[in-house]
Amino acid sequence: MTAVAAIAAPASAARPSRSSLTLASYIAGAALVVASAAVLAAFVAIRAQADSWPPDEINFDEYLSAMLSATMFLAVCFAGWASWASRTGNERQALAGLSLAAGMGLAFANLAWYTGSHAGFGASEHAFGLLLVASIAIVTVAALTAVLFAVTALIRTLGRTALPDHELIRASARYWFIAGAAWFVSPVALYGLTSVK
Amino acid sequence: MSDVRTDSGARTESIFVTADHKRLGRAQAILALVLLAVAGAGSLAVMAQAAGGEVQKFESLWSLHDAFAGVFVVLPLWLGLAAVVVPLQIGTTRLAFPLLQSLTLWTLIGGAVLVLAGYAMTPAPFADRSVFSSIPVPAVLEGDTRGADLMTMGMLLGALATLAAALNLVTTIATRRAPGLTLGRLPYFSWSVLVGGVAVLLATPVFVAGLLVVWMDQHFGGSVFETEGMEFLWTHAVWLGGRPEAFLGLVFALGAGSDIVATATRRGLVADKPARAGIAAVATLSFVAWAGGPDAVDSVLAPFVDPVSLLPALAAGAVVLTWLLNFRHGARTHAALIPIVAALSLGVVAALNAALRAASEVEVGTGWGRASLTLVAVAIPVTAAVGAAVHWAPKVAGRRLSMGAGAVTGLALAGGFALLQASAALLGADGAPRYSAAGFAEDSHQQLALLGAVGVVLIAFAVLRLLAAVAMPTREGLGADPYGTGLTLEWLTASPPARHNFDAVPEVRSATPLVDARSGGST
Repeated sequence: MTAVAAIAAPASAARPSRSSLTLASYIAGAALVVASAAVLAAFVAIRAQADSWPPDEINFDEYLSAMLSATMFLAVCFAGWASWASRTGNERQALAGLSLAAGMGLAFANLAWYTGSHAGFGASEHAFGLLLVASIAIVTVAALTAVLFAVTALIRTLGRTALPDHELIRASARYWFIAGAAWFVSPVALYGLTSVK
Repeated sequence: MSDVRTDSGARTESIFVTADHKRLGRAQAILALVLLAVAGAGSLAVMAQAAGGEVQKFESLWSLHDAFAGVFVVLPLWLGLAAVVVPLQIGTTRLAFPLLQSLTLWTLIGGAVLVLAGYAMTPAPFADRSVFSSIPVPAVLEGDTRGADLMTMGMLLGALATLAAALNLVTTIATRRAPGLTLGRLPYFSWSVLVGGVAVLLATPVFVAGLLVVWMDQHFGGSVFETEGMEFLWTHAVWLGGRPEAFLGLVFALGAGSDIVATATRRGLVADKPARAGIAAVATLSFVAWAGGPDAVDSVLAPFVDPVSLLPALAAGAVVLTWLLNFRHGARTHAALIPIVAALSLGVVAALNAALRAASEVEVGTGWGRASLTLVAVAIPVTAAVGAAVHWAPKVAGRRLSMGAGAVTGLALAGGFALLQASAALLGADGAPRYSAAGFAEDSHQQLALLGAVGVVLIAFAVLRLLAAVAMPTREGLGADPYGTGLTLEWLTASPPARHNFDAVPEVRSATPLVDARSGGST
């Protein structure tokens, strides 16, 4: 038996997948939200012990924080648009939505880096700084993964190698939704918790 | 990379490029056993030195041991076996994401190499880490932290690989089952992989986040772990003794044990639904590890000290009772039963250990807690995994292991773990601290260390015996069902299976499709 023959499954074994990618994107996203929640839990635990929280020198730039949230929100909206267009069979709009979502993801990562470098404090200054940087880093890695996901879907769709039902596009969109949820679970919650005390 | 030729003459891809779940899963399981040997070597080095009266590099050796035993052995071993067996059990040709399994294997290898490099680059013993269990964290490290950095990153990679493997298996079971194979008809091992995998996906990200914070703390010189209360957070919520993963090996062990008992007794479990519910309950109740009280840092695994931790043990006991119901109708001898019975014996020892601890009020932070952790989180799952490897050896390695191989491997493993835990428990009863070279200062402690060293040697012998038995060339032509009593789909395909597993996708009409086939109906 040749290697090629050994690799190829018999035709009778082929059957449609039950949305493996979509399910996997949900599961990976759930794991991401749990990781973000773990950092949030550590934040709350330390906050309960701290005499002064946040440290006195902390001064949030609300413009940058709002822009980060807006950028993530737009990325999620564009991904949702791509998913809707895919469902309705409008491939051009799906591609446009994916492209814009990927662009917004890159903008988010760039803005997160800029925010971190201009925050006036670093991860080494105090526990507050480290946990804030850790939570933003987790979501930024998630956003870059979502960008990779979207670009892969884009390339495969353009190259006509994607599944006919555009499952990859919809799975990419769902991962974006959860990355957005992770952003609002952890860094935004940290901001809220910091502001109320 | 050149291809290799198998005994049958068929060409197959190199391990570097293959997406065959059977080869990748087998490689992952063997890797986990090798890393168990490395962890054992770290433990043996400590015990042997302690028997001589003085321990060099205690902390870094113990960190090496715990990093491997806690992250790279139990779950990778079970998930590797599952990667081989689950697609066969559910009647599919491949995993949902074949290349992700390859990524899992290489990420595990990369993580293990980083942990070893971290050990090699640690220039001096770490400072006192007693409150932080056995992982280097920044608040208690002094000087050069490169070794600790590498160890942390290595464990991070190991945890990510575990996550990827669980995601792949859960997705495969959810989306690629044979027609008619409902969740209620899943083989018990696949059922345990489904519920255990979901638990891994919910529990391990917390460990990943914890390691990320540890790495940032030590790499950037942060202060998170200098904050009051964080030592509790670390030992109780992030490190192995306080995580649900401490119980999750039991979930896979119960699933595999149920399949082995069903095969040996030639029928599905009489109490089918209670067994499935019990396995799911252990996975769910494993999360009570996070619900223990603040005094339970060291006693999460001692149910009589922390009653909430009794719940997973009760659920596991209920599953074992369903096995006993099956044996009332007779059984045939089966090599895999011996390691399973050995694992059950270790479970009894664990229960006695916990009861004695509660009765004698042994102090928290002593070796007694370590004995509990070793038994529940490592000894029982690893011994049961050997039983699973013996049971599915025709599919994993293309050969059927003898009763002798099963008996020698299972009994040596259980005996080794029993000696190891006895050493730790008796040290704890004598008040020796859990993670300190000072725990071996007295003569009687040195004799107990020697006892532990003998246990480690027995474990190493068992692992080598198993690997040798699996690696020996096949001399016989095995049929699809060498036991003649297989019930589930993996016994429908050749031993070893073809590259594509099944020539035709079978249709399933019950939880025992092979019984249906033998009785003349469709599977």
